[in-house]
Amino acid sequence: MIGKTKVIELYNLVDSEILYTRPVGEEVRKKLVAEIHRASENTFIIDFKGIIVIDFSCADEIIAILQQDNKQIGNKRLLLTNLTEHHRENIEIAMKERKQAILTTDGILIGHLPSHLESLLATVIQKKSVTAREIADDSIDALAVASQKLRLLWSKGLAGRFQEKSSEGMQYIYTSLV
Amino acid sequence: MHLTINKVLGRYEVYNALYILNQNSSENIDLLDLSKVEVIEPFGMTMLLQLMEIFSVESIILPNANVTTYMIEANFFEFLSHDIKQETSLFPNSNKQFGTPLLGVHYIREKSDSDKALLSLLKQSSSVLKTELGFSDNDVADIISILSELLGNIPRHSQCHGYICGEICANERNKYLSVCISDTGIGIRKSLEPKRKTSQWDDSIALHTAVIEGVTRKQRGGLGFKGIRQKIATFKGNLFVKSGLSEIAVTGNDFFVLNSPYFPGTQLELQLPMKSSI
Repeated sequence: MIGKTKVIELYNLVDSEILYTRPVGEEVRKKLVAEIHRASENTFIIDFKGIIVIDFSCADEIIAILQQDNKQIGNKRLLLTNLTEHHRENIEIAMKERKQAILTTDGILIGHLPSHLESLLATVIQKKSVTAREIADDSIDALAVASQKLRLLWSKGLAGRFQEKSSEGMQYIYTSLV
Repeated sequence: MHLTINKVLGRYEVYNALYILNQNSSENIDLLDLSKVEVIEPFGMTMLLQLMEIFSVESIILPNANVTTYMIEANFFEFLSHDIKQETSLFPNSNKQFGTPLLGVHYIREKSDSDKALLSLLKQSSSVLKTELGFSDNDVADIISILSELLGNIPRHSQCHGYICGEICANERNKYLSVCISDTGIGIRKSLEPKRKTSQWDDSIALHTAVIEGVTRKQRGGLGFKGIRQKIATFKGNLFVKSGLSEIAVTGNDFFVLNSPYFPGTQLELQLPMKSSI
C-alpha cells in the first residue's frame, strides 16, 4: 500500500561515521534530495547503518527540515531505519523543535504529533488504508473534519494517499507507510 | 622568572602558575621547571601548551622519563611553536607505565581538525571507554556529539586555534573521563558582546549568559550549552568553563561562578564519571 520503496544508506552518501555541524547537514540534505528526485519510487527508507554519531544540527538539517517541507522531495514519503538510541534522541529533539514527526520502519513515531492526530495515525497503521468516510463513520467527526485530519497527516509526511473513483465521486485513499 | 610546577599538573597547579605570572606581569619565563611533575591531566597538558604560546619560555626542565614519554605519545612536543632549550634530554622509556594516551593533543582550527580528533576518539579509544568506565555505545556516541559541538565553537567564535586532549583520570572516589578543550581566542565576553542585554557586562555575566541562560541562533545553531548540560547531567558529570577572569562549574542543575586568574580565550573541561554498573 505504500507504493514502491527505496532504501538510501546514509553512510554511502557521506562516507563518515560522524555527522555534525549544520553545513554538513545541509550538504547531506542536498545529496538526499538529488537522490530522491532521481528515483521513481514513492517512499524512501533512510538507513542509518554505519552512522555512529549524528548531532542535533545534522538531525535537523537532514531529517527535520526535509520532513517539514516535503515539497522539496515532491511530497514523497520518508521512513527511518537502523536507528540507535543516540540517533533517536537527537532526531527526536530536532523533530520536536520544528513540531514535526517521522516514522521508523517498525512503526515508532519520533517527534511531535498532537494527540488527536496520533490516534488517527494509529488507526491508519492498523487498517493499512482508510477513507475520510470510514473515519467519520467510526468516530464523532464530521466528514469534513475527518477529511481535514487525514489531509494534515498526509501533509506531515506520515501517510501516503492516492485517488480513486467511488460512488460518491473521486476520493482519497490514505495508506499506512509501515 | 623561574616557574616551578608541582606534582599534579591539573587545574590547581595551572591556576597557581597563572596567579604568579599575572602578579609578576611578566611575558617571559626564563626557566620552566617540570621536574617535580608526576601526573599531567588533560587540563594541564592543553594549558601548558597555551601558556608556552602566550609566554616566551627560554628553557625547560622536563619531568621524569615516564611523564615525558607520556607527553611524547600525547603529541605534546609536536605543537611547541618554538625551540626551547631543554635542561634535561628527552629519553623515551619503553616501560610505558602511563599507557597510551586516551586522546592525545590535537590542534583545532578548522572542522577537518575536529574530524581527526573525534574519529581518533571513536576508533582508538571507544573500547577503552567501555571497558574502563562502563560506557555503552550510546554513551560514546553522546560524548562525541557533545565534543563535536564544543569543538565547533573554536572555528565559529574564537577567531583563533585551540587544542583538545583527553584521558581517564582518577580521584579518591572514582575514575572519570576528563576532556579539555582550550583556545586563546577572543573569549566568551567579547564573542557575546553583540548579544548583550544588560549594561553590566563582564566575564562572569557573559559566562552565565552563555552556559546557563543559553544563547543560540534559533533553528540555525546546535544544541547549545543548555542541551550540552542536559546531556552531561545524564552522565552525572561536570562541566567547567573558564573565560577571562571567571569560571563557571556546572553539576546537574547546580552551578557556581568563581573568580579565576586571567588567561585569554576559553578553556573547557568535561568530566564524566565511571558508570557504577561495572
